Amino acid sequence: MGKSANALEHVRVGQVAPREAYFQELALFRKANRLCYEHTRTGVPDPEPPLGQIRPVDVYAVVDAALSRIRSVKEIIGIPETVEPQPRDASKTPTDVFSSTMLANQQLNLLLDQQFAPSDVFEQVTLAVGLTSQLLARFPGATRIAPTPAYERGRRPADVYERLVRCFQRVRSIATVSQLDMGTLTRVHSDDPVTPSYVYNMATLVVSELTFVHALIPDASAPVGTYYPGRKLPSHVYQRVGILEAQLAELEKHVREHPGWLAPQERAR
Amino acid sequence: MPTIYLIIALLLARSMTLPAPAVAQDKDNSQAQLAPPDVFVLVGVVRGELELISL
Repeated sequence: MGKSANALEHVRVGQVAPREAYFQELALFRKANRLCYEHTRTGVPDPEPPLGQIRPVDVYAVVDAALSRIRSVKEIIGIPETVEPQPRDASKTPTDVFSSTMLANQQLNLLLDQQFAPSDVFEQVTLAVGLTSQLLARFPGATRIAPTPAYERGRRPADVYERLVRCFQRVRSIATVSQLDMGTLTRVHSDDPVTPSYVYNMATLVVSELTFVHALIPDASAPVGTYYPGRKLPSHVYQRVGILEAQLAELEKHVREHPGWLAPQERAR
Repeated sequence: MPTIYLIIALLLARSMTLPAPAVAQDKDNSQAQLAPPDVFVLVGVVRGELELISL
């Protein structure tokens, strides 16, 4: 298709658990599905979410589903060559899977006619806002949805990215206080501009961590489903991430006051 | 004649139901043993396929 090579990421994620890899694979599947739709006009729903703890087999299933979509594209554009799997290296961890998938995600995004856009990020952030609202419901008197910050014209994807990185760090602080393990984030130098695709990957990471914490509350209500929000600008997304950032600050304040908030006896408080 | 129908029905039922659980169970067992190195290999295949498409 004559598309340019993939770009490099702006962060390195460490100590990855299968759940974090799962959500990156889900992003991969969605991009593969969009690519397939652009070529074949056929789309399929997301794979069914796994029940209980996410295992490597669940992650594998999503990659396999993405591969199936990509092979459909290969077939329709007439590429007969096949790819031989590399030998299995037993030292590979979920962190390696995550890093490799991030590169695949970028590679895939560049092949799309309709690349992942601010509206896709907006949808993920809305999901994160819903999940955080459910977590805040554990604390009577907490403000579940923060007031919408002022709209700031001219915001770029890089601004949204930075705000999401801060959100991730905030979720990680909450996890640490709550004695939960969570991945680490390290900034790495990259000369590539931050695109909405990078921002989408970061939003997906935040959603994966919030979903994990949310799943630890047995009686929590299901988060409200999201829908395509229409065309959005980075400034709209920046504004929405502002709501999330304020919610997470509120949540961290309550969690620091009640570090055992996820324990059953704390639930009735 | 009804006996022939009964035998055919039994044979059909046997051919349709017996092998299926064994195959499904084997597949479940092998999939349950999948580990991150297996996922890494598959992601590598995805990246290889994307390289082919992007050329």
